[in-house]
Amino acid sequence: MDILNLPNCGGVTGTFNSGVNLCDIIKDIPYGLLLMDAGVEFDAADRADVATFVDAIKTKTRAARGSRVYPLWDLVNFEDQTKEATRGTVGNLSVTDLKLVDAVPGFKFGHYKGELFHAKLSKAERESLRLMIIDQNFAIYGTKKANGNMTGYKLNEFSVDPSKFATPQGAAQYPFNVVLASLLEYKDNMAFVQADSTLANISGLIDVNLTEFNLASNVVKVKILTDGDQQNLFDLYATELAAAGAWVLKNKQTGATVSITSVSAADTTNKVWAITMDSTAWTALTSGQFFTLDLNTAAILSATYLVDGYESTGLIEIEKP
Amino acid sequence: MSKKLKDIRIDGTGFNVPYWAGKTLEEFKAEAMKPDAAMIPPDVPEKDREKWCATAHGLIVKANNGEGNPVVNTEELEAEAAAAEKTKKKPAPGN
Repeated sequence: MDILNLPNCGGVTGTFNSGVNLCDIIKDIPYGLLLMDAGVEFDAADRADVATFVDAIKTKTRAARGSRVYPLWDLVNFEDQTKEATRGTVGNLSVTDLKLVDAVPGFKFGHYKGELFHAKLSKAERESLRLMIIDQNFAIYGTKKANGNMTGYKLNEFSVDPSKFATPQGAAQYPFNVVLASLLEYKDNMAFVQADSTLANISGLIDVNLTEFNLASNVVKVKILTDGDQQNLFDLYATELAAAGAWVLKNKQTGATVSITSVSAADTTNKVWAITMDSTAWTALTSGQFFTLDLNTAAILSATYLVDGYESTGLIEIEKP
Repeated sequence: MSKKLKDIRIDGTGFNVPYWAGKTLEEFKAEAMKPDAAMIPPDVPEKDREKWCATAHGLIVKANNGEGNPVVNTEELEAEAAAAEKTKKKPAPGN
C-alpha cells in the first residue's frame, strides 16, 4: 500500500525557522475595541499608511449597517480569561497528558461611560459582530484572511454583565465579556497594524429620534432629540440641518421620493425645523394617507452637511388630515 | 463644497435649488406667501416680502447655474436687490 498523503507532515521540508524579526510587536494593555459588522474588511490599499488606515476606519464608522465599524474607547478594566487547553490521556497506554481541546481566548472588559451606554451595549449581544483590539500604543490587532485582507476576530459570545453600584471602596463597574470563536484567527492568522493616537479621534454614532411637532398645510415641524439623554439637536445644528438634502421624504403608499422644497430653522422658540413638502404631491394625497420623513444617512449628513456622528433611529409618518 | 450646489441658505432656510430653479417666480411666490409657509424669514416686513421672494428666487437660479455664493443673509439680499435696482436705473447705451 502506498501512502497517498501525509496530513500531519507539513510538507516535503519543514517550514519552521527560529530567526527573530527585526521589527516585531509586544502586546500592551487593551485601550479600545473596534466592533464591526461581519462583512467589514480592510484591504492593502486601506492599510497603505497610518493616515489612510485611520480614514478608512472612520469612513466605516459612518457606513450603512452591515458595513459599519463601532468604536469603543477608554476601557477601564481588562482581564484575560483565556482558559488553559484541555489535556488528558489518549488511551490507557499513555504516560503523559496530551492537548485534547484548544483554549479559546476570552476577555473581560469594563467601561465607565454610564448606564445609557451600557444599555446600548447590550444590543451588541444580538449582532454577529467581529472584534479588533487596540492596545495602549495604538496597535490594532485583528486577523488576516486568505485574500490578504484584515478583519476582526469572529466572536463566539459578546455578553454584557449587569452594572454594579459604587461602593465606599470602589467606583461603579460596567463590565462586558467577549469570547473569540477561533484560535486559528487569533494565533496563526494574527494581523496587526501599528497606528497612532489619531485613531482615538474616531467616534461612534449617536442615535437621534425624530418627532412631529405640528403640521400646518404642507409644512411639517420636526424636533430631533438624542436618544436617551433627550438633547435637542437644534441647539447644535439648526443651520446645518436647514437643508433640503439633509432629509428624505417619501410617499408611504408608493415608496416614491417626494421633493422637499425648503427647510427652515426660523422657529427658534420651539427649536424645531419647518419642512415644506412639495405642494402638488401633498395636495394629491387623500385624507388618511401618509408621507414618511427621515434624516439622510449618517455618511451624507457627515460629508455634505457637516453634521457628524448622528443617525436617525427611524422615520416618522406624517398623516394627511 | 457640494452642499453649496445642492442647497441655498438664506437666513436659516435651506432651499432645494434644482426644484425652485425649475419653477417660475410666480410659483415660488405663491408657495412662500402662504400663511403657513416657513420660507421667508419672520423678520422680513410684510411690505418687503414680495421683493424678498424676487431676490431669493434670483439667487436660487444663479446658484443652480453655479454662480454666486448661495449662503447669504438678509443684508446680502438687500445689497443684491440694491445692485439690481441700480442696474435697472442705468440709462441704456446711446440714450
